[in-house]
Amino acid sequence: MSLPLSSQHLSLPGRLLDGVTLVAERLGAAAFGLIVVFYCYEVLMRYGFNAPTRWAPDFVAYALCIGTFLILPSLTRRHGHVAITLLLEAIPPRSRRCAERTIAMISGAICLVIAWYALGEVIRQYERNIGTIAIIRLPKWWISAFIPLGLTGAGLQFLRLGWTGSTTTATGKEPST
Amino acid sequence: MSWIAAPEGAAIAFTFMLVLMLAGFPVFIAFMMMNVAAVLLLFGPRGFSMLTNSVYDTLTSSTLAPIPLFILMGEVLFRSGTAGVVFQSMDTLISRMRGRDFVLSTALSTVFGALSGAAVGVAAMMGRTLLPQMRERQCNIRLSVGSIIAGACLAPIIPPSVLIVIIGMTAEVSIARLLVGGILPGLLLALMILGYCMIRVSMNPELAPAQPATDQHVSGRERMLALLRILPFGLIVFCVVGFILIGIATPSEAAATGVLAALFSAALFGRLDWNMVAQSLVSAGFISAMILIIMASSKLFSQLLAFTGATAALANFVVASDLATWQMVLLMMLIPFLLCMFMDQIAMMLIFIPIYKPLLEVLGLDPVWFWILFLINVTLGGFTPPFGYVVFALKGAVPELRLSEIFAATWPFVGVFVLAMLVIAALPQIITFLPGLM
Repeated sequence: MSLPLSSQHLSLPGRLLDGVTLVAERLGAAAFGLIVVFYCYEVLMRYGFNAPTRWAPDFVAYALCIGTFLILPSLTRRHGHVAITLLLEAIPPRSRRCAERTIAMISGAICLVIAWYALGEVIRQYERNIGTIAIIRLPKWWISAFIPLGLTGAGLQFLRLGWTGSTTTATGKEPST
Repeated sequence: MSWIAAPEGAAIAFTFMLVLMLAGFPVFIAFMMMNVAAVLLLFGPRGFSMLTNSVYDTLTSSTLAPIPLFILMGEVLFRSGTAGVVFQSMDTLISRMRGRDFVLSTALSTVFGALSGAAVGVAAMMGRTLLPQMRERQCNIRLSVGSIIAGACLAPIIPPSVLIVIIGMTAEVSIARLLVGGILPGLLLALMILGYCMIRVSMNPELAPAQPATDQHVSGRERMLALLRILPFGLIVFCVVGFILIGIATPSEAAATGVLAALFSAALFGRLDWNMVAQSLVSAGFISAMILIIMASSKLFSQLLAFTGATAALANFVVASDLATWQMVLLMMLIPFLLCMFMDQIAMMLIFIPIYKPLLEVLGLDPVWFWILFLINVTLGGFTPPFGYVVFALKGAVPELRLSEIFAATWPFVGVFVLAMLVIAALPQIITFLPGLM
């Protein structure tokens, strides 16, 4: 499942983007793994030692959000998003490629626009010192910062897919940047 | 922008989103585009904080935690190869009889359904393992393919089920009750799939030729060993379903202990290694992120539906309509079924659940009964030609099969599912009995 970091034909920004995407993918997978650890620990403490944790459910929720947005750029790069390609598959290959590139570019733009506004919201949360609604209160921006981060990564990956034209969906092939 | 506040505005938004999805935009992007357009029209750029907070609130809900956990459980079982142990054990345990491969197919589907939350993985696994064996034994290919696809579709109905978690979260119905409510309908469907196959075989024995006598002897010791080898998987089922039924764990906690039990099973058969765990985590992460980002993007859609008064208007329309309850239920099932033939199940669910949710109160329907029926309906739409992930998953696993052949194989089982839905609709206790014990 690793990305082709050593591919010689990748440009420096492309390699940088892939490097960050790969690291984020691994960290995201680890975040999902932590959910298992947190919950099993919670069950053990509750029924084994009659001492339920105060933090496990909240930290699971954070891991869910962080994991999703960390994996998002890699998911985009691998054409992993659910899309209904029934009509696209019915049109001639040349028109299809053109349509797919357009869709990828528009998708990239949408992700970046939402990432921009999400960043504004994160900054607002930071400035106003807004905390999470939880037993153990954390600054909310610690978690919500992953939203613009993930959307920016996904947006850049969409734009790259649109720009390079390697947009054929659901093949599992790596893009040829 | 008062025009958008009208139900007509919501209808335009709904159509806009369907067009975007059918045009080939990723589903989450279609939801996001609709959200961006609606927020700009209703609130202006300042409303974007609402969009961000809606995404944050959805993804920081631990109610969604069973999704990655159920997927991870299935990944561990399939990637470790321990699912193969189940296959071999069931193959040994099932008596030699005419049509036994169809019994094996249905039994395996039911067991894998209880071990995995997604139909696609089960279809791919069965396509790679059982289908070659059925072809070798000269079973009718259409009946074999159809029984495998229909059997794989038990996975979203029998707990653990990713789709049930999505329904429970979106419809705000107890996920535990929904999970337990899926058990009996899943078993009924399994029996009906098996019944259909056996009737076909009894009418035409050529569909499942008798096996040579040399293949038929299995000693008592072999059967006992097979039974022992399958026992650890019972632990997984107990962790997921048993813990919820007994009431000692939430669905999320039950799912986490299920993952632990899956790892334990892999260790027991000497298949646990770090590489496998890492691959399972990454793969489960991908599938989970794919689903969760759609859910996060769709949340604001349902909120906007309520905000614009569209859901209330729809409820009023239902109250004013002359349709009987059963006619409404039929209509509410027919529309997503037809759309599911062309669209993604999750997208369809996330569009329709917020619309249907207020209607249940108006119609006085039991939410657990309705949503399980809806789940079966959506699952059915997921393998009805011409669009269906389960069909494509089988095609991917067995590339030499023609798509037209697979489609032809699924139609009789579409009939079996429709018949099962009619039975379940007529006898709601099939769904409501077990949740009633909780």
